[in-house]
Amino acid sequence: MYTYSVSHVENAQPHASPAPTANAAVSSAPLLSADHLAFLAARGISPDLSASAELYSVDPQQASELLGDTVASWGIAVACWISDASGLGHREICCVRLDHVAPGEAHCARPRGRPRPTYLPTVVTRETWRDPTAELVVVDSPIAALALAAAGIAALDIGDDGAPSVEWRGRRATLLYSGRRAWNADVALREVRVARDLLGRGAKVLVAELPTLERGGAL
Amino acid sequence: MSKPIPSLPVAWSPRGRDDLCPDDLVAQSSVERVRGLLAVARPATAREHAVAVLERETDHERRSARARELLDDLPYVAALALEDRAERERAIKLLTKRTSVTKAAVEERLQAFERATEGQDSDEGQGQDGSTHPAVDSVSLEAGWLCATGHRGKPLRLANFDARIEAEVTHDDGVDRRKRYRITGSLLATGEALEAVEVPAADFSAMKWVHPAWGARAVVGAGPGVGDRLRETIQLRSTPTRETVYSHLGFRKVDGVWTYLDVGGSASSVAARVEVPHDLRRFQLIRSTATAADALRASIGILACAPLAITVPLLGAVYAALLASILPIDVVLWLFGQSGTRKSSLAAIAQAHYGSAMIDRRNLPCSWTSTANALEETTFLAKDALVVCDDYAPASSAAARQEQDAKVERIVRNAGNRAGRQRMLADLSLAPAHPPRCLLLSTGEDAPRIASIRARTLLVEVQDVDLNALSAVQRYPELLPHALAEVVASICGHYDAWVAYARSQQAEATRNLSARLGPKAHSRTAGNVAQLYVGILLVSDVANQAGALDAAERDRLRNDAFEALVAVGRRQASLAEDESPAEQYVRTLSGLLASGALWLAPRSASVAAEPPRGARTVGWRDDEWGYVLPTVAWEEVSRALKVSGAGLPVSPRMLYQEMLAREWLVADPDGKHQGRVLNVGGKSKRVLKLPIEVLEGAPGSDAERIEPGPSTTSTSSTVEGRSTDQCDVRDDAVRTRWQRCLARDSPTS
Repeated sequence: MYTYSVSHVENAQPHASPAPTANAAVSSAPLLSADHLAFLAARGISPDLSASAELYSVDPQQASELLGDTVASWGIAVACWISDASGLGHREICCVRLDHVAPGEAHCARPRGRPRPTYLPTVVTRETWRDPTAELVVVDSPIAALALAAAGIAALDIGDDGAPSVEWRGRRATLLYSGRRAWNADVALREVRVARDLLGRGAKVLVAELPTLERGGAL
Repeated sequence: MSKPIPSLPVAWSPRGRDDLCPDDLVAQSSVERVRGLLAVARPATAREHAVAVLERETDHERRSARARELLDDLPYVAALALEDRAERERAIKLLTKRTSVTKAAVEERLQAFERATEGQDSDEGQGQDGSTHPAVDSVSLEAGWLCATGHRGKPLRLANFDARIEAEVTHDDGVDRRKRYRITGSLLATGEALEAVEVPAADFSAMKWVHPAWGARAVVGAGPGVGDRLRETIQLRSTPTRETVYSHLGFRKVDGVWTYLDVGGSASSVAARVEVPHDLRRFQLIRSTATAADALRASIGILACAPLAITVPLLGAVYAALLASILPIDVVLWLFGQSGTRKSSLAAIAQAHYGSAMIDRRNLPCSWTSTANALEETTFLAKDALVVCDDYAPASSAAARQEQDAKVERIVRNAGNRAGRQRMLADLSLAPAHPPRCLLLSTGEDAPRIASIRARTLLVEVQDVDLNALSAVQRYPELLPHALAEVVASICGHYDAWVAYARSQQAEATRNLSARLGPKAHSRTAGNVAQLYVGILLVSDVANQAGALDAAERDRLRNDAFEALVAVGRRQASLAEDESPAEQYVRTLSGLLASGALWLAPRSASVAAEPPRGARTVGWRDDEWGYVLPTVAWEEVSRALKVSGAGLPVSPRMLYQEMLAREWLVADPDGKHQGRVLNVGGKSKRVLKLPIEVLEGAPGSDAERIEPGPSTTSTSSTVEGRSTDQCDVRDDAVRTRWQRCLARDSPTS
């Protein structure tokens, strides 16, 4: 629910905030492995942007600690800004992008028992959040938001608390969720709810679809 | 890890492939491909989507095929299912108009979707079929207001903000569990975030928390029942997480694992959130970069800071405190001495084991200047920890002294009895008591003045502090909590075994110490000293396991500590006796007689004798006995003690019983009365018959007393056959031995 504001985005400057609090395992790990750097580079996410977005490589044990579950894959931990009772907010791990998952499972794993937070890439300027004429793309993973933002497409991942308090009235917002939406009822429902939330805030909401093999969507 | 995939229609089943994410598309194709997809995005609502898809198709077959495609599209069915009823009906009408798709087929698809999402948490109060709870179904946003459907369908303004219960937080202090809701919200008109607040669950329903929390910006609509509708709406729109916050320190079983809670959370790998009052926020067991052996040697090295009669109880208290609520430990250690004797610095070293920041005596958690209620709460929340209460100084006025005594009596008595004050709640029910659960270490320029309180404390006079040794310990404060953390880790790993071991050792030590202290000691003294000895056993065992002490050193430490504690116990006996009510009464009475304020008339005088000028007759005397009028003597003694801010803490009956036991009073031959009947001038008077030497000189004079502990130099008196000089020599040798611990404690060595 509307716990994110533009002021939080402004505060979330690269390296301006302390390391995430709920992740002692992460803070002591090397930042990013060579494989992960290559993975991110293929998505247009440079090492500098990775550092400013506080991306970390985590091994299976660290990933398990962060997620509160047993996982057997390396991954990229993504930190995001959480508002709290102090009013200052703090950073927490919002997702671990696992390298390998079982068929049908999402790569972006969330800490167990915690609400899915909203992720606002720091690379998107504050003017974009304030300007209702700027189109926003809503995706369903922080890495996707960061990749699109790095390519100049203002994107964000809206969490369980609802849309952040940027100016939505009259803004064009396009939902671009992963291909899982085509068969996973959870993802489909989340997409519809986000759309309804944005419609309620006065946004012009559209839905875009990624290609799938069945629809002949060859890359 | 993720939820099990529900049973889905064939068209919606996973394809067994790694579905694309937008970033994958960027990586495998280009960002331009993404822009192309965004350019052909479709409307979000089910009706508009249907219009966009079907309006171009005029051919019945093709239109029917497109309608069926929509119903095979899971996101479309999800959008249809979550639409409002009216909007859904309009969309279904479009799907079935001029197509072969029937309304029953659409309903069947919706039911399949409902089955597929069965058991999922509803979001924003909505069910999977789009039919929502009445209270939430009718909520809408109107011109910056959250509105419900009111009379005749008119919007009823609930509030100009939206709020959700983010978390249901249970504050657990080990006795009581109180629920609070963490609520976040935002103003609907501007989107301005309202700061997260925690509201007691009991206060939530009344909705009176809104203005204190969010001020005048947050407006609750006017009218009867609006607050209750708003409360219901917030609750139904919220999916709060559940959190437990521990509001105490000490051992606690969390998720089935014993752990020690400090402000950093949990000392073990168990995740726990701890929030304690400001005074306790320095309690944190952090391991240093030194080895466990170095840290434990540094901790044991505090034995070299002063005579063992001072440092052994201190070291014992540090580690015995860990078991304060478990055994339980009920001794109160009281360091006293003149100003400047470094008693606060010594206490700070002990306290620093629970957080290195408290090595500074200005950072000690409590002071006797705090209110009794605050002290009571702190000693309750600091479970299984040492708490230093600093700076007991005799007050200047009699009233202030009485207040001070009352505070000390309440806190020490509670600690000694492990009892808390009963509290009555507003509904006349009894609130759980908050008994002390820590080991209290007090410092002061004087010992407590009330005899019964002295019996509950272990009095240690501070002197001869070795400043070099003190500085050596203070130089590496981070080693002290590290040492304690090692002991805590050992206890957590084998909790039940440690507790059983500590209990058996405590019982055995109490028996041994009772035998050594003899019958003169107060009945509590052996038990009190034994509790501190348990602390020594704990640290010596863990130090041995960690390699800080070998087996011979461990045994020597135990022997040295035992002997030092015996000496402390013997001195305690003399200090407690010194201030018994009988002592106070007789000393004050004899002082008044010696000063001429009171006068005993000669019993042999044939006529009533006149008292000297300014004196008051308190009774009669002969060569062997004094005959004191009890009422007059009680009145005068009480008055004299009141001037000095003290008082007799017992009733006359209890006082005379103690005097009888000490043979300072001769009982009536019939045994029914504590006084005697005396015939004076033909009239019978009930008097107290005391040996005249008791009245002429205070009993238990210095020559008969046991001298202070081993650090005091050169007297010829003996303690049960053992020379105190021998104590000194032995103490010096032992201190030298433990100074070697300090010499080895440097983390850089």
